[in-house]
Amino acid sequence: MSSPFEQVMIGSDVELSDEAELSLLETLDHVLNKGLVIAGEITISVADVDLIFLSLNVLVSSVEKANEVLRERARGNLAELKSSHDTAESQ
Amino acid sequence: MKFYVYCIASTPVELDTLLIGVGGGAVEQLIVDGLSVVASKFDTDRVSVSRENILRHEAIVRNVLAMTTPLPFRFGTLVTEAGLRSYVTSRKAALQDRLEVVKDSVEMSIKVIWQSTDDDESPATTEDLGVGAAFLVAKRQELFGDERLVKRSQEIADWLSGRIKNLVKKENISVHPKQKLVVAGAYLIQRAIQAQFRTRVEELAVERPELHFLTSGPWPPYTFANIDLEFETQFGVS
Repeated sequence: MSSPFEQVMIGSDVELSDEAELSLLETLDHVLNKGLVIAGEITISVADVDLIFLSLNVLVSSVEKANEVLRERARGNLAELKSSHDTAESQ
Repeated sequence: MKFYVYCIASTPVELDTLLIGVGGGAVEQLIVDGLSVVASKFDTDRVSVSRENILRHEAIVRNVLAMTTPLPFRFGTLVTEAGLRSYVTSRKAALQDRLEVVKDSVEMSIKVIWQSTDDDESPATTEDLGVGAAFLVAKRQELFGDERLVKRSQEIADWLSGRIKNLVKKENISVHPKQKLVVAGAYLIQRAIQAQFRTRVEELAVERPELHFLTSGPWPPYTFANIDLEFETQFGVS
């Protein structure tokens, strides 16, 4: 059974640079929020919970950032294309 | 001395001897009424939510998942041996039923991120309204949310369910109209069709380019394990 750490993927045209972080978030989502429960026997220290919320925000921010990067890249490619087209025309 | 418990399997499993339990204890199996409970001894009375502990918990459940589909316990479950035996014995039938449901299956996760436009998200403007009317508009939004967002997010959830329903045994969908993470779905599927499931999601991404899809898995069936629905608490990370 392969690990989901290697298999998190983003649909459409977005790729996240830090898949490990996304995978940890997915793991947190599963192990903290779901699963078999014995009444009254969950005894976790919540000292790090704020970090979990923070990480979730990072996830959403990362997707937005990835989109920005893609848009920038697309603009860069377009400019490069236009530049080479102009050069070819001037020759 | 308590046990930190990881999962329950229908049959004994051969655990990887290199596994280290949460808290550093050796991972062992307790056979209770024919069911195998994977656990490790735990010295203190509280489990820290740390990266190391989370990954150890998941690694142990995943080791079992490689052999058979177990019912995973939620992170942080500490119980005495007597308490554990009592739990399994008193709920054996329900546990066996649930093990039968998840047999030969894994959980896949799809999260849909909505790339909304400004027009989609902006609340109704209150600039031109009087104080009373503005208050009522704000209150209405607070109480009912934006109906348009609700309708659109539900449409996405319904569309997603419809497109993959022939591949899934069970699903658990949550819809968040006001968030970018608009739909979160957990799906119980047969192990054998994981590739087909992923291909289908890729097709969906092409079909709806305005949406982004985060797919992960295979997971142990965390979402479909609990036999006690009253304990569906939210820690807020989904």
